[in-house]
Amino acid sequence: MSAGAVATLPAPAPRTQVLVSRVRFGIYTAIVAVSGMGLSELLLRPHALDPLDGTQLYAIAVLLCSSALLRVHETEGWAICIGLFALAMTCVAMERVAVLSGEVPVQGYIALVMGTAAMAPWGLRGQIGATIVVTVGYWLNVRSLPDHHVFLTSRESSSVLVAAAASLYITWILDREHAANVHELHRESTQREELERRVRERTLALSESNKALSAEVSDRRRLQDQLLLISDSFPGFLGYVDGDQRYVWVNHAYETYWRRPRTEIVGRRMSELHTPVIYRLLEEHIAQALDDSSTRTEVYSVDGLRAKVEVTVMPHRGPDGALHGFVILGLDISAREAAEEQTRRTERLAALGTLAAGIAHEINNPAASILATAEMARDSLHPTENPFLDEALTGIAKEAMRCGQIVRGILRFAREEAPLRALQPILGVVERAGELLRGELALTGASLHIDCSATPEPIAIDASGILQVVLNLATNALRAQAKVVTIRSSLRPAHLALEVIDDGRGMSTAEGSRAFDPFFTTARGNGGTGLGLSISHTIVAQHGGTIEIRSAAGTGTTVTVVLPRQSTPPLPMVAARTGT
Amino acid sequence: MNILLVEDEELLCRSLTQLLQRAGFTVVAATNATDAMTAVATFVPDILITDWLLQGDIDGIALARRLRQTAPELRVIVITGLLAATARSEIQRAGIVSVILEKPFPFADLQAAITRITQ
Repeated sequence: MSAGAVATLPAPAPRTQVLVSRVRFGIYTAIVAVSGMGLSELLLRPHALDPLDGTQLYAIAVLLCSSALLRVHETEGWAICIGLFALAMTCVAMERVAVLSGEVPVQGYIALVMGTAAMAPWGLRGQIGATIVVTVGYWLNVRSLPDHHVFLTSRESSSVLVAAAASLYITWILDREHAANVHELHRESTQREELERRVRERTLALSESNKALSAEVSDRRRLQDQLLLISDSFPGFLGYVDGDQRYVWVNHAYETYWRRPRTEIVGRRMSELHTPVIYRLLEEHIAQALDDSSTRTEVYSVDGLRAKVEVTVMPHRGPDGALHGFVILGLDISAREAAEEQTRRTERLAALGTLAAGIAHEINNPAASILATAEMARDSLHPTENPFLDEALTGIAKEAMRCGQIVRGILRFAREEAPLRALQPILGVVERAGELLRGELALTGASLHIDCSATPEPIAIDASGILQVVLNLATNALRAQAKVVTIRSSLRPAHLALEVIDDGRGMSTAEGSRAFDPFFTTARGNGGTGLGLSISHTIVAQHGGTIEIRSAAGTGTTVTVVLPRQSTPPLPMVAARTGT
Repeated sequence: MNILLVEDEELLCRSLTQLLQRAGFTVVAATNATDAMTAVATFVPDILITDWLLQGDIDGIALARRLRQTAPELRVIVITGLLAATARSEIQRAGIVSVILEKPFPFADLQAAITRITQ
């Protein structure tokens, strides 16, 4: 609260001022009245001045002073005035008794002056009224007495009247001054009261507004806390940057994403915080958003960013259009994109499965005809008769079989059932794959190393499915010109990991991203159908496992198959080639 | 040994008939179920080799079921181009099929199956 806001109050008119004013008035009245009477006595009856008269004068002076003093308190003044008036009337009565008994009478004007003084509280009008009442009373009293008892001579009466008149005149003058003083004092007092009232009102209003302000501050603090909590629990990074591209505020995710504490971000320029590559992107993005004054979203996918990020810039302008700053919002969309890609892949495979089921019948029947007819034709030949034809027919039969295998492979996508699983060590399956690969290994001159010593305990698997997976992966490795292929198993808390590691030519990022797509192959013309990995993926997925590829061009490939060690109860076998 | 071959693919039907005859079997071939039913009036087969999906109202399983009513010892081999898992379990539930062969198959597989079920 500032000092200037408070009115400086004038010192209140002290009550003692009123008192002094009235005392002075009383003294004046008394002095004038007594002087007037004394003077008239001296002038008119110098020879008759006796001790009694002097006493009377003092008594009168004291009474006058008292009456004037008592004007200060009106209520008490009333009582005293009535008392004085009664005293005056007592004097008249005493005088009357004294006169009637023939003794020396009391001077009657005492009553007159005392009565006059008694009316002092009512000011001039009061005194005039009192004078009239007392005079009339005195006159009526004197008239009722025998003639010889009239002691006041006409000169004496005149002196009394002069004194009374002088008293009245002085009273009038002083009363006017007094009235002016009182009026002034009253005015000051009213002003002061008004001022005090206004001060009280303003203090009250100020206190009310203080209370409201304090409530508002507390509301705002709560709102601020809520906003902070919301922004800190927001999964994306969110910040406010001023017009000079200096960070004003950032949320918790901003710290995590950019790996800096808030204190190191706030107050710094964007160009100081970010690498030149990222800052160039941001700068261009911000410039575009400011150009058309709109919210603008871009996807950042550059080195130096931990993930693919969708960044939104929202300019903040005042009502006059002036730029205050902008909000930057970033969302990591890598996971979302990966999930979308996974969904797309699943949908592609499902569509392919449906299509394959539809065409399987149409392909398998002619393939069976071709196969049987080629075999029949070959059977009709003598092997030595036409070796070329024999070879050609053998080739036709083999290719017809391959058609059937391809269709069967594709159909595995459409399989709805879980494979039949039995508990067995993974080593058995891997060794069986090694036996089946022997011919191809000899052909390529590559070597195969098997190490499954870390996982001796049985695991619930569909042996034929996993065998196919291992065969597919190892065949892929050999087709990628691997010289050494290692198949190694290891234990994870709830899983078994089977790695097929080769030192072949590896895959580029683009090839790797399509590796699971059906019919995608890098070994076209080299026996590859492009179905091996997609079939393997399906088989592993049916086991509740995952399959991952780590590869780079020129450095070989590692494919990791992760299978759960605990499996769901086995379902009936559905893929047997023959029944009994 | 008598074999009744029912297959609606004519080329396959002819080639398999040839191969089976050369292998020493007596073969009567039909391309639909009606012809097959007619054929059994004069021919008593030991083995029925039939396509599962045949043209007409009667499929291979229904045909086998009918023929088994008069010849309970009849062995049945089903050959099919489309074998969804549900179809396989349906065939197995019928309880009259000894072997299911998926097309295309080498003749050696058929011979092996015949050998196995006649032993």
